Amino acid sequence: MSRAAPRIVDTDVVVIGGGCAGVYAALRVQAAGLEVLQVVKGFLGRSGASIFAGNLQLQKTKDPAEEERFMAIRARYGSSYLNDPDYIRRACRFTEDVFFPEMEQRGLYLRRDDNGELVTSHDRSAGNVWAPNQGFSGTMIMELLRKDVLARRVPLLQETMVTSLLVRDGVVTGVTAFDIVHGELFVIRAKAVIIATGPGNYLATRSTATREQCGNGFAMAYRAGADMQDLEMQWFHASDIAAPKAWMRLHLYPNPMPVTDKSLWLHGKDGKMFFHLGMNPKVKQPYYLQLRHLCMQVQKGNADWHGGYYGGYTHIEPDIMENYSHTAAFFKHLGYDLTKDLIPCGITWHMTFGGIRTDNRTMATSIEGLYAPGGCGSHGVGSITYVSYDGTIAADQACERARSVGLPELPEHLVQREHDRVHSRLAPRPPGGLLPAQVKKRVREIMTDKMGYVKSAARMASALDDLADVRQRLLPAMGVGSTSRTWNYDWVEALDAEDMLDLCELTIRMSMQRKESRGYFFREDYPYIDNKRWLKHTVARRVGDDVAFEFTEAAPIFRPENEIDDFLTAEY
Amino acid sequence: MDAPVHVAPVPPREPTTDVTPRFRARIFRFDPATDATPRFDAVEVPCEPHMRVLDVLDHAVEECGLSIGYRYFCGIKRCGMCGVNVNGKAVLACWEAATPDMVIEPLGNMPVIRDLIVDRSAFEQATVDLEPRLVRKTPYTSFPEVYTHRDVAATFPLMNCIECYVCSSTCPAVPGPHPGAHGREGQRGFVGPGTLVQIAKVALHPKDELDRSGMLENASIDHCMSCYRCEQVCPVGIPIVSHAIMPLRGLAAKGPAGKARFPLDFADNVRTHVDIHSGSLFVKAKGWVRALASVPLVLRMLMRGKTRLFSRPSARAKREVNALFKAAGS
Amino acid sequence: MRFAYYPGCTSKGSTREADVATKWLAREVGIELAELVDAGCCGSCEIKAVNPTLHFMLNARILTMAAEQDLEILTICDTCQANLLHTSRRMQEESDAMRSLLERLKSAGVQYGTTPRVRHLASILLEEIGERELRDRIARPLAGLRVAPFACCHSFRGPGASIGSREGLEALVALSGATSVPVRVDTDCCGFHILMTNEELSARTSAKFLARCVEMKADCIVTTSPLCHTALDIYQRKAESVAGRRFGIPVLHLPQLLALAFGAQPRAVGLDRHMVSTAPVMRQMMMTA
Repeated sequence: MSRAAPRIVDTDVVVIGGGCAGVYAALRVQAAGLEVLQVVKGFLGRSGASIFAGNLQLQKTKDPAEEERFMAIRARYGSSYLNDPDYIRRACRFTEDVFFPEMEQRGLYLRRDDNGELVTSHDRSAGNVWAPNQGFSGTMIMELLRKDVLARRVPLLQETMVTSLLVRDGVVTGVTAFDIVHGELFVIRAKAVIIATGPGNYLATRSTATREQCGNGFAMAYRAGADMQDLEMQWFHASDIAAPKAWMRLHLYPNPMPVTDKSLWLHGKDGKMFFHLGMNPKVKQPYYLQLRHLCMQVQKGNADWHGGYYGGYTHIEPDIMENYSHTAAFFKHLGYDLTKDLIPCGITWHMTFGGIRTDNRTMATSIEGLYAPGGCGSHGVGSITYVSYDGTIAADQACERARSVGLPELPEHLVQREHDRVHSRLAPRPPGGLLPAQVKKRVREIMTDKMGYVKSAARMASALDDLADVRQRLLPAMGVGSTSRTWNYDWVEALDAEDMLDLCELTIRMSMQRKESRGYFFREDYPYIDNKRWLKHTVARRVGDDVAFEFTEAAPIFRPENEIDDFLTAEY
Repeated sequence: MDAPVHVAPVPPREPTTDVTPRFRARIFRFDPATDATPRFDAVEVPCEPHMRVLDVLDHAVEECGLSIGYRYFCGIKRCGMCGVNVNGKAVLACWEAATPDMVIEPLGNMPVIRDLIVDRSAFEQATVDLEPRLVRKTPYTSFPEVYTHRDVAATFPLMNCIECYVCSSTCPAVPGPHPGAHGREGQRGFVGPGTLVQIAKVALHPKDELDRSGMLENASIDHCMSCYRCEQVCPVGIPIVSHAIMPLRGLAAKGPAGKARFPLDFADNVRTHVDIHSGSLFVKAKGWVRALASVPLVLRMLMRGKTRLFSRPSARAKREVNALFKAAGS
Repeated sequence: MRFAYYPGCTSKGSTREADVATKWLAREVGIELAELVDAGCCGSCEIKAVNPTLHFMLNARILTMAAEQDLEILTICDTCQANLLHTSRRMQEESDAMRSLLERLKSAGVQYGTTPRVRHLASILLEEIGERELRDRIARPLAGLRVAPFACCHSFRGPGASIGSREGLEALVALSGATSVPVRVDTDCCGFHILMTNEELSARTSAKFLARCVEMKADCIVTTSPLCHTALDIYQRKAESVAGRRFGIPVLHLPQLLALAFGAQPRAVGLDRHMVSTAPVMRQMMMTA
């Protein structure tokens, strides 16, 4: 392969990712007067998890008792005691003091009634609000942020995929970036790198991540030597529509609906309702319980993971669906009558609560100069509103760094290596080989079969074997259908396939480390929550060709009552 | 650099006894770097429950091994990026149901990058240039702002627009996809309904305080033919003409260049003549000099009895119509 | 059968032949037309841009004039039809907007009562006379005549659209004995509403449809709107000039087409009053003027 001489672009701070965290970071850096370059694999505000935020949470943090209560709820029902409540407190305050006012100033319309009151569910302590309807809030937020970025002329590259982090002696010096439209790999050299690639990881056949979100951010950080944390804490959705396949991200929200305290009912094969949030009003967040109750139904043969159970709105007033639900129009489009029909559902691989290990006060990672705000960080976010705080903090830290250091020297050998790797993937598919899209499909099938909601050591080991087979047999015979450089998605998917293999293997190995169940993470060989030994984070780091693991204590602010709880019947 | 290589797709599977109905699709393929002309690739797809056009495209790649270029991100009508033409109809691939015989082509009015991928930048840039942000002059006080659902009645019907530009792709007033067709700031062709909905979201917001009349004139809003094609195709059901373009035309009518003042001239003509008197409206709209160029046409019309030189509204009609004007605040 | 007849503005002037043909046809099938004199303009697509309230009030007044006589409205222009139909739907809503309109109308001296039905001539022929009787009246089937129907955009889309309007037009063309040529596609527009302000763009748009008429060998076009007729007939020469080619396709109003099939003399229904000569069609049908 030829000696690489890629184009080099210099900037103070490069921001990877175009969701809420990335936008907040980029705007903040620009406002500070430094040079920023935002790089998005898809399109700013049109891809990624941010556009899917369906319910916004408005917490009143000025009342200390209220704040304490909320933090306790979040710790227990939102993270099973793994998050740092202090981070939640800071993020919530920022949300109330800065995010909501700024967004409203930009024109965000939080749904009001005819009297000017914010529309919420009857249980006001759940604090849900919508812009303007349930299911559309994230899209609306990102639309306003996108317009701000574009109107302020923040330097922006779209359909440009960052392929590697260039780290020299433990310090990040920049990134390699791939222009998808023209098929060109180039280098961005920067004094600080903000990676905001989000929590989505399209690693299973049914996933809520957007098409391009193949865990590239996680894979790159891991390959560059960053510490990764809690990747095994993978969230699933229990109530996403089963068909059409194109609509697998269409979510039947289990939260309390607007102007009522009713919420979605789940029905089994027998047609009977087996879960809704109202069954356990103390629990403010329904997602854990939905999955556990579904699991019990699957065990009884009254549901399957990918069908055979249903979501129902038949008990909810039609005008609530008509006036407040964005997703109601989708069901109608398929011909469902929401007053009578039940909608077939399946589970989906949602997003990971873990990620690149961060210090949640600074968003700093274990690589100097690399910051990971938002869902791709390990601090367990789960809400679009919080990542605005993350992005702001990361930007402040990055700016402070950029003011104090000069442009770094690039690691030439890494640039060469990446150039070779990327260009080797433009090889045409040999006879009997697969397109990259087909290899990705195979990887997702393995994860679906053997890394579903119910895990076991045996299945996970088998998954590793299957992935090893993909790596050894399918990957070398993988090739593109055309070697044209113009918008060649085969080429992008070839890079995705490598990232996905790295990330899936790492995720499985971290899952094997955690010998308990917690939150969304269920092992049938360790079917209990072990608060005595496992109120811990799993940390992984690449060492040569192997992985090193260590464990750190979770923040001790709130503690569960029992040392051991049976996972399936616990409420947290 | 070597000329690009195209690899033959995976050969069809052995025939089976599978009796699942199959849908057929012919998909537009074109790589401007290598192809002189477009071609169509044909696929057969087993019909699945509620199948969308997007599922057909996924199948064409994953099962048939075709390296088709197509965009989508969300699959559920949020990202606005999967617009295509199916059997001549401009649709979103994720929203549109698959049918037994489909011809899938790229959206119109935009240059093709490759296969089904089009370059949206002319429309996106027009949106950015027309100031798509809310412009407040009165300072924002505190959260939450005081207003009711009624206060946002003008923009609420527009909020679900996802800027998919399916409307602009099929609008007859939008310039075509050739380079430079759209002009640039200060001298644009019609920016299209998609951009106008984005601008209407802020222009009609109760807190927006920017005078946008001049910008709308520059957006050639007077080119809109009121054909409602945009409303017909909008996958989200936005009432584009009634709730975005018409109100914006009203704003533009007061613009400094007078380029979009026709609705005001029309209204004046009705107030004066009750029935439209085309002759005087024609002269008002074009000015005497340009109207004179149409004299030959007018003479021919006169000879065929197609002119009404003088209007004679009855006093009663004039009185009643003027009373309506007054009551409507005009 | 008696209807309040609302011809609209252009059929009193530049498309007077549409009014003439409508009256001929109405007499023939036994429809009595009580013309709404002093009804005024429906506002077209202009007044709704600068004053939506005024737009609805102007149309509400027209509706009242028919309601006062206890008559349904017959229109011959799809834009008038759409404006009146949209207004009639709005006036039947129970809403604050509607109530506020009623107040304003009252203050301007218009007592709005019931809402009359509003239909285009084409719908009334099919729904009230019926296909069988219409077919019985065909004296001169237009066999061999290739007709490209041009449904007005406002007849099938927008808030004033009438369900089944395109199908109705096809049915009437078929009934006349002519062959319908499917030239019109949904992206076509005659461009009428920007004729006075953007003549070149208007002509370029209609030229696309006209060119396809030539390619698909249509003998003539038939319209249900005098506004479309104006753009396609009166400004056909302009379209030729911007397209750089000749079209020469006659454009008939729907009542003229039906009248011919019923046996009317061409001059009796204004076919000598077009800008693009209809002589080729008459020759083809072996008619004398």
